[in-house]
Amino acid sequence: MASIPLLCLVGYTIVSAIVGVKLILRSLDSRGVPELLAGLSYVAAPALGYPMCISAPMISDRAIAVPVYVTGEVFLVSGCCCFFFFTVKVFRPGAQWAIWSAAFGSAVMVWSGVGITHAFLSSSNPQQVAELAKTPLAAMVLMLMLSYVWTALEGMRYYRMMRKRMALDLADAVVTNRFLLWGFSGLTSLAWISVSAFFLAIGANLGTDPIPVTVTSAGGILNTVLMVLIFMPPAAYVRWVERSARSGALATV
Amino acid sequence: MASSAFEAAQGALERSAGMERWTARGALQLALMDAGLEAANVTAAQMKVVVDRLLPKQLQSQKVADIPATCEKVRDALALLGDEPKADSPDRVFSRLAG
Repeated sequence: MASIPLLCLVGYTIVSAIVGVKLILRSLDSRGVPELLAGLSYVAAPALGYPMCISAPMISDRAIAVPVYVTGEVFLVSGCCCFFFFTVKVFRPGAQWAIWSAAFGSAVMVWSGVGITHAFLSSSNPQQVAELAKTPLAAMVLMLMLSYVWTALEGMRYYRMMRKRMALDLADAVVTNRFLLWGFSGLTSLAWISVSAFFLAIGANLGTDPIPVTVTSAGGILNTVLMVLIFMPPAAYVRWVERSARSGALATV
Repeated sequence: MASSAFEAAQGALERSAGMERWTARGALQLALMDAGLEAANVTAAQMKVVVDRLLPKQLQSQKVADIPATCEKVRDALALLGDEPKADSPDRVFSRLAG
């Protein structure tokens, strides 16, 4: 049972790495800060940081486990901070409240990362580590949930605006659809992390309890599919979106 | 901060329809909202479509006397501008993400 979520997370990690590297390379051409932030975010958090933090406790040699964990935590926190500032840079570039929110979120992530790392360094007993890391982990999870709520709201808000533009022939159907997918990816991540946080809070084992296992697997698969459709859409999907938009426009004539 | 296209349209509305600054701004904001556009990054080309298709309705509710002439003046003001603003907008970023 535990191998299914593992496979899903491995898939998510690989796709995140491909998407992240592609975005970073694209940012070198376009000199676009948003592409760079998104690329760094995908490479640092899901592609490097998360798997390193998951695998470090399984390494019996502490001399290897500790640097792997610390490096993983640094990547994870840095990736999340890049993600916060991607949202600001794209959707709220001039808004002081958004810049301060991202800065506050980043500060909480750094504080949480230090707290969780400190717990890992303090003990090699997994139960003791979990107990020591409880508060910083809760803060990190809460911050991630808030960031996904923000992602979903911005994606859906802009999707609504793009639909109105489409009615005036001012927007491309594929780009419009990308905002919808972005909103969905925020909702998927929110659902996934909320369920995991709830089961973690009631003391369930996330690797064996069927509900979090199913939700984690489904979340991993869905997020991977959404990432492919947003950043590397297959030609058939693009054609389908364009065809649907054309038939929708004809239906309203 | 509003884009140069928005500022140009607002100025033209104030001059040609004798509207006050905030009335002109409000009429344009409502038209932009109907179009799903934002004052901060609307381009001259997008603003021209808004002027053609949505602004007359807003001007009607403001009881502007000669709506076609007013819209023509706004279009003239927009024609003097270059098309693309320097600022990045979410749709431009999202069109690049998979480009």
